[in-house]
Amino acid sequence: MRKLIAAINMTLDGFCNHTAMIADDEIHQHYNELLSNADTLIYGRITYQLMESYWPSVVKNPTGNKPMDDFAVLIDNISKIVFSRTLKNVNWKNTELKKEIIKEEILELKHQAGKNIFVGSPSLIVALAQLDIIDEYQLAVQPTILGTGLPLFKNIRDRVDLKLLKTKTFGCGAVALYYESTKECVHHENR
Amino acid sequence: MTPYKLLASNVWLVGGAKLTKDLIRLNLADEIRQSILPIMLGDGISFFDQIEKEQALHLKNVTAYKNGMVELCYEIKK
Repeated sequence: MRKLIAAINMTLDGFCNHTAMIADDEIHQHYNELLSNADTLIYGRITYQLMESYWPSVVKNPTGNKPMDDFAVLIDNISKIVFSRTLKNVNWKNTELKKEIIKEEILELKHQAGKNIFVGSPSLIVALAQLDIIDEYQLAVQPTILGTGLPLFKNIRDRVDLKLLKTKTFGCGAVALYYESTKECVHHENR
Repeated sequence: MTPYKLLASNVWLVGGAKLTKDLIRLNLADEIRQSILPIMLGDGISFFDQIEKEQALHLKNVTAYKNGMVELCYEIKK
């Protein structure tokens, strides 16, 4: 069974705001490796639209920055699922639109052969965390206090206990924290 | 420079969250040591709640402990 991994950037005070993030070559290379080990990305509407509005244009008109251009090609080619009740259609290639989050559907996706599934939207990470189906969290803490914004863990109702797997420190001062979910129901099937 | 900062070599600001926030806002704090526990809680008192100030940091040190706690040590950029 493949893993469902929540991967997201946040500031030290726990906000998600892509404009506050450092995205240097080392960070892009990190995400390129991550995407190379994935074959499905799951997004909510807001993050999806942010990605759709930017990366396809980089594929068409490369920036000249290799790690960034490589990332654009990787994210363009990978299978994407976007969950939204309001979107009517999606224009990005390899993208499937779904209206409802159905736990069984996502579990079935996990049972299919293939590489890891990544979820990268704040609201969706919280929704899937509450369904107990996230196997791993990769939180990249940026060296910034933002003061205000969209809190990542706003709507967590039930406490989630995690096990620290490792940390990875970047030259820019970002620190990626890798956690495994300790919920038994997620893991006993494949270990 | 405040009298306290002149007198002492290091002042450990123990807390709480409100006082910490004020001293960061007043540009008096020099360093932040934040320990992250491996738990998602969903509510409680946020360490940086209502700070309403953007502040760049310089990462000095990362220490991971066996119990899953990660201590992040930052210098506050002035």
